[in-house]
This record gives sequence, structure tokens and C-alpha cells, in this order.
Amino acid sequence: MLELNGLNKTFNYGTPDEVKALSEVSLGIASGSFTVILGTNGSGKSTLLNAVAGTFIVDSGAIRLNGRDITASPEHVRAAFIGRVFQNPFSGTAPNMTIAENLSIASMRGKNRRFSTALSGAAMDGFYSRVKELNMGLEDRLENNIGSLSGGQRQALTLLMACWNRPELLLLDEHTAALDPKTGAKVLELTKTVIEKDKLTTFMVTHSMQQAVNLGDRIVMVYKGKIIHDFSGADKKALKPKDLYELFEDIKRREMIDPATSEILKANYV
Amino acid sequence: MYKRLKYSEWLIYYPAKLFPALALIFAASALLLFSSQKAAEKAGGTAGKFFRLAVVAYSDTPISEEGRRGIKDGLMETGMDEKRDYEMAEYSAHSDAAALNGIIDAVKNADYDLIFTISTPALQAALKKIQKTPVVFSSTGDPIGAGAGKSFSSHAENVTGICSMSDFSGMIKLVKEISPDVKKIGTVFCPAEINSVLYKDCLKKAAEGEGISLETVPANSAGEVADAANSLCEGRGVEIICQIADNLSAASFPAILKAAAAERIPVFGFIESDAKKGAALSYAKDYYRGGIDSAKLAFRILKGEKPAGIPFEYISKTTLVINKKAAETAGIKIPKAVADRADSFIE
Amino acid sequence: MPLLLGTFTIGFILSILAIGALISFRIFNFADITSEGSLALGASAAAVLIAARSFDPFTVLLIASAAGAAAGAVTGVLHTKFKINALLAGILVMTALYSVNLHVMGKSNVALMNEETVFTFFNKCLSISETANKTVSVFGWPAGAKDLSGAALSFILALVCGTALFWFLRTELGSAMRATGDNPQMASALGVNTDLMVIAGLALSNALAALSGALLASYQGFADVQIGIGMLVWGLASVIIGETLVREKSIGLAITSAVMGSVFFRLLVAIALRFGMNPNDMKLITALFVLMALILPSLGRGGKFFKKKADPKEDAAATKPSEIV
Repeated sequence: MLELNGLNKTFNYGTPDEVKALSEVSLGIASGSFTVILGTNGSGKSTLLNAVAGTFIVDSGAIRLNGRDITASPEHVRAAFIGRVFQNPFSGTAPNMTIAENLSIASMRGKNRRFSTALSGAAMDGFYSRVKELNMGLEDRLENNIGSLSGGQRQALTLLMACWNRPELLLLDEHTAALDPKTGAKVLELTKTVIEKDKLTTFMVTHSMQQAVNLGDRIVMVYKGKIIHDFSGADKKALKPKDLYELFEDIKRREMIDPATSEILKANYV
Repeated sequence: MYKRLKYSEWLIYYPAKLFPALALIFAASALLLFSSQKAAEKAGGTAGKFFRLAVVAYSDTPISEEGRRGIKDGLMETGMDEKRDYEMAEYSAHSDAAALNGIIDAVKNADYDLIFTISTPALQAALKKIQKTPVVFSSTGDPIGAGAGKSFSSHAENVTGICSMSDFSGMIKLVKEISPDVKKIGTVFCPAEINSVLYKDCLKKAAEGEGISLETVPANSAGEVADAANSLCEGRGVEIICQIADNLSAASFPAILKAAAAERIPVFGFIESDAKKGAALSYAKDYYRGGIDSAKLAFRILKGEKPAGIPFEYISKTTLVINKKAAETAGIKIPKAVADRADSFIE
Repeated sequence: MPLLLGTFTIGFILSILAIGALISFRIFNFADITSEGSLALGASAAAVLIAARSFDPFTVLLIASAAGAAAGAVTGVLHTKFKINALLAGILVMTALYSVNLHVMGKSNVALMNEETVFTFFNKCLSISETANKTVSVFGWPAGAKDLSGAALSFILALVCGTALFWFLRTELGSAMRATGDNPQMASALGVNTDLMVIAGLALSNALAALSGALLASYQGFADVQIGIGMLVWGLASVIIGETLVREKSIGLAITSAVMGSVFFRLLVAIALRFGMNPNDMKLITALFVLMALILPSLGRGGKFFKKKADPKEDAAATKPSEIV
């Protein structure tokens, strides 16, 4: 259970670039659910995800994960419970280390790292069998640097690494957006399998309406740092990309009108 | 099950990767070995009346260059002729401690007849490694502290040399003669140079003995000397700058002159060439003279004396040079008694 | 022969600095200038402790390394906790260490003429007399027993440091440290305390620099406050020369190549000393030698002798360039 309570975050406070990225965001996510955060560019959807991950500390509000208050915990402490996959396929892996070394770091997430050999024979066998499940032929290349792999392969490995020790929460940040459609679909398929297998609580950010409709059991629409729609259950199932598209068009229209009306108001009253 | 590379495969893999590097190291070693062997043979062949000398300096500073110049001129004064009687190789470590060790190894290997060291680290590196070849040091303020012996007469068997201590009480006497009311003198010093700290302390002792206090400002690099000199000249009530001789201030002497000129403070130097550069006077037992003296010690050793029997010496002669124009500009009058003693004047 | 052995000794002693530089330069991707200060700190601390005669020479090395580690940790804290640019943090600590070193020694230079150092201790173990200049024959070349034991000891110490670092970097902690340098975002997301890793890594790097300084002081018989100046540059040069010669970046080979780079570099300096009779030319000739050594193999690579052997492992790994947009 992830609870977000009245989160606020302002970037560049007190400067001309001041941005209110999150404003009074409250959200409860049940364990085992798959929530899709949908929003346009700059809507604050990634900021919301980063607030949960701990990339920054929120200005006010509280974040609780399974009863634990993690509002002020630094990123690496939260990482003990949270798995993440980034939008950029290069962000989730260490390019100059081998596949096996990357996996060994992931396999120690949330555990005490010690002075014992990272790549013991038993560990290698474990890596071998789980990488084999990806069906990408990477299991024979465990001792190659990850930097030599393609983006899709790296993203698949990142996903595997994020879920290596079953995380209490999985954060997906538009993790297929930077891949070509075919690879993206493959990674998405893999994501579904992994999530279903381990019944992971998932929090996914996307701007693709198709993905939002196809995946998950809840859609949360974010606009200008606020939650504007929240569909779940039957409502969510009934949604079509077209409906979402119209909701967005609606937002866009408002955005077009808003500056214009404010101009008129200014001209008349100021 | 993951199949790892077998150890036997690594045994081929690693050496193959390392082969080019190993080959180059081997080639370089061989080159060094054979070339140094040749040098040793050559040394054996030319023994006799012809001497092979080496000068080892730690850094490239005016002081070090003065010392080298002194050694060359000193050898000439002994009547020996380069080419006919001796050849001299010069080495400088360019302030690199590791290179200094390499130089000492190279010098040891080449079997020179005598080795001159310039500066304290060069002497120390030689002390550690050279036990047979005579070593004559100069530009070393405190050979005992450097580990060359227990006293000036009881010291390492193959080592002797010239202790380059300036004449501090002489300088203070000059100061008193020229301006009897002086209360405060000053100098820039370098905490990193063992000689500099030593000289500063000696100058302080000599000055305090005459009721004069000494202001000092530390500078650690050439870039800091100008700031240190400005800080020394402004607002501290320093009446005369008696700049001690160390590598740093010697290299940046013009910066000290400039700062002093701005406040019309006269500068007295401990290096002969200071007066030429624009100091009011220089009273020098300087490194050039030290070089000449060490060449004379070397001559005695080459003629058959044992270094063990030659006590360390101070620099033999003190040179007073007066720069009339600089003195006038700084507003001091040189008394006739002092002027009469001067070895030379700069007009 | 003494020249060659002396060169190897210095090469191995400074290779410990080079593998320290490898940590900051190749793992964390910046040149940690603190090393110059900690090298001098190690030398100063060792010299003072040796002169005090209250510890055995190996304990002295440990204390000197610990002092270096502390200096590195300070740089790490300045960089991670106070967000000071890594290069600047290194410069600040190096600058401060200059004064610290003067305080440690109480003056700028400490002589260690007849004191017991690791080198004399090792000679004692091998029953080599300090005063008698015994020679032994190595492949028909006469070599001083003391020179030989010095080179052997420094080789053993470099081997121990290299092996220890190799072992450490392959542990769970060590790979977390490498990941921190390679991709901090990933490391952090996988629960690695990246700040702590940077601090620990710089401490380790500077402990090695200090150890190198302590050995240098023991070997040459004195410590001078200026001993560290320019050393990091040569350390980095060794790392890069080694990489160029070996052309492989796996941990074991990287460490080995740094050691080889250091030895090779010192050999070139020694050769320059042999042939560059005008002292003013020494550095120029050294630079030219290094350049030649780096260029020659790549010129020769066209020929058969230096042709790069196809590596089956790498060929299998060859993939098309990234498919990412």
C-alpha cells in the first residue's frame, strides 16, 4: 500500500523560473495494483514518480509505503523497497561493467553489501537461469560489458534487475518511450509477464493513451501538478483511447482559452 | 549452469594481452642495461689523470644555477681545464623526487670520480645510495640536519662540502651602521625549504641580539611571493627588508623589490646579484661563492685527499655590493665607512 | 645494473600511487589532486614515525596509509556532502595538506639516514648487510644484493596492493563502488549509498598514494614537503600509458597495466637520463620517449607482429550499434 498525502514541490523557488511541479497530490495505491499515470509533457507525472523514488525530497506532505514513512528517506534507502526502470535505457545499467556484475549489484538491493566475492559460482548460475528466461540469448554473454548491448536488451535487463529481489513497489518511467516500436512492444510484454508473475505493486508513467488503456487497473490523469481524473474498476475498463484523447483535447482547449481570457481580463480591468 | 572460461584459457588470454607491454618493458630494460654497461666500461678505460665529474641539482632555480656556475668557475680557478683534465656531466631532477633517485642511480652506475650535489634533497639522496664515490655538497644550509654527519669534522666518509650559511650577524651590523635607529626589519621566507626556515631563524636570532625585531611572511609558491611581499611592506612598520636567500625568493626577487619600492623601503639582499637586480645592497656569502669553494674542496679530493679528513666549511668570502641609485631612491645614505668596505658598486 | 634495479624499485613504488590514481581517475572519472598531498603526507608521517623509532617499519606504513585515507575521506566529504566540485575539493585538501605536512614533520625535510625502514628490515630478514656491498650475479650481470632486495620488496608490495585492490573491486562492496562511478543514478536506484562509496573510494585511493609516499621516503632516506609535487601527473601518465599498451579495461588487466605503465615510464625517464646529457633537455626527451612508445605500436599494428589477435569472446559480443533513437 502506497499512500501519498498532500505532496507539494516547487522547483527554483523564488526565481523567475519557479515551477510548481506538484500541488496537493494525494493518492492511495493498493498493494498488488497496477496504476498508470497519464499526462502531457510537463504535467508533473515524472515529478510525481521521482518524488516517490526519492530523487528529491518533497516540500510538504507525506509518503508512506506499507506503513513505513519514507518522506525524508534518501533515494538509496528507499531503493531497498522500490525497483525502478528509467525512460532512458542507458540510465538503468552500468555500461562499463559486465552483465553479471550489474545483476550482482541488483541482487544485493536492500541487503548488506559485504566483502565477499560478487560473482561466486552459485551467483553466476542464478544469473544464468534468470537471464535465460528473457529469451534474448544474453545468458551466454554474462561476462560482456552491458555497454555493448542494444537499448532494448539493456532495458529488459534493467527490468529484470529492478524486480530481482521482489520490490514492494515497481516504478516504471515511460520505460518504452525511447525504444523503437517493435522493441518497445517486446519490453512491454515482458513487463506484463514479470508484474503478473510476482503480483507487483506497479506505478507506471506514460503519455501513450494506448498503453494506459491496455495496461493496469487504474488510470490517474495528471495536469499542472494536480490529479484531474482518476479512473478505476469498471470505469477504467470501459475507457477507450478515444475517450482519453477527448479529455486531453479538452485540457488543450482550456489551455488555449486561459491565456487569451486572462489577456482580455487584464486589458479590461488592470 | 553458466560456463566460465577455464583457467587454462585465462593463462593464454592474459599473457597475450600483456605481451606488447612486457616486450616494451623488456626492450627498455635491455637498452638501459647495455647502455649503462657501456658507460661503466668507458669509465674503466679512461681512468688516470682525466677526471669524470657530475653535478646533481634538485631544481632549476637561480640559486641552483648560481651554484653550478660557481662550480665551473671554481674548477677553472684551480687551473684544471675542461676537456684536458676533466669532463663534467650536469643533471637536474627538475624538482621531481622520483627523478632525483633515478639520477643518483645513473650517476652511481656511471662510476664518476666525484659528485657535486646542489641543495639539501640532492645531498640526502646521494648520502643514502653513494658510499664510495666522493660527494661534495653545496647550497646546503644545514648538512648535519640533512644527515651528512655528527659534526662538521666527524661526518660520512665519502662526503664533504660547503655549508651555505649566510653571514647574518654581519648583515645586522651593516643595518645598524647604515640606520642606527632601525627597530624592525622584515623578510619573506618559504616554509617548504628547509634552508629558508633555518636562515629565517638565524636572521631573527642575530637581529634580536641587536634589539631589532624581525617580521616574516611565508610564501609557498612563486605566485604567492608578490602578495607576501606586499603584506610585509604595508602597515607592519618594516623599515628595511633583509631578504634571506632561498630558492623561492631568489626566483621572485623582482616582486619583492617592486613591493618595497612602492613603500620606499630599502631592500638588502643576501645574494650577490641582488644589488644588480635593484636591491640597495647585497652582503653575500652566496651560492655562487659556495660553488667556487666546493670546487676547491673537490680539487683537493681529486689530488688524493680523503673526504673523511676534510671538515665541512662555511663559505669563505663575503662580498658587499652597493647599488647607489637604489639606495638613493629608497632614501638611505650609505656611510663612508660602509662604502669603503664595498667590493663593488653599481651606479 | 644498479641503475636498472633502482628504476624498477621506483617504478614499483610509484605504481602503488598509479593504482590509487586508477581508482579516482577510472572509477570516479576525475583526477583527484589530493593524491599529491597525501603522497607527501604518507612520506612525512612515515619519516617522523621512523625517526621516532617507536613502531616497527610495517606498522609505520599502515599508519601512513591511514593518514592518507583520512585525507581522501575529507575530499570525499567535501565533494559529496557539501557539493563542492571534485577537482576543487581535491585542490583544497591538497593545499591544506601542505601546511599539515609541515606540521607533521615540524620542518620541511626529515632525514632518515641510519634508521630502520622496511627496506633495511627486509635486508635484515635476508641477512644482507647494510654496510658490506655484496654483489650477486643475475644472468651473468653483477648486481648489488641491496639493490636487488629493494627491487624485490617494492615488487612484492606492489603485487600485494594490486592483488588486494583486484580482490576488493570484485567483492559486493567493490562492485557497488565501481557502479557508483560508472552510473550513479543506477547505483542509487539499486540501493547503493553513492556518497559513502565516493568517500570510501577516495579514502582508498589516497591511502595507496600515502603508502607510495611512505615507501619513497623509506627508500630514498628522507622526506621533503615538496615530494608530492607533480606526482599525480606521472601517476595518471602511468595509468594511460599502461592502458595504451594493454588496450583492455577489465579490472585485473587495468591494475596490471597501471603497474606496467609506471615501470615503463620510469624506465623511459632513466633512459632519457642516460642519453640526455644537457639537464635542461631531460623532460623534453622523456616526453618524446613516451610519445614514441605510444605511437610505435599503433604504427606497427598494420604489420603482422603487432596485429591485434581476434578475440573470440569479443567477436561473439559484437552487436550492431545501439538501436535506440
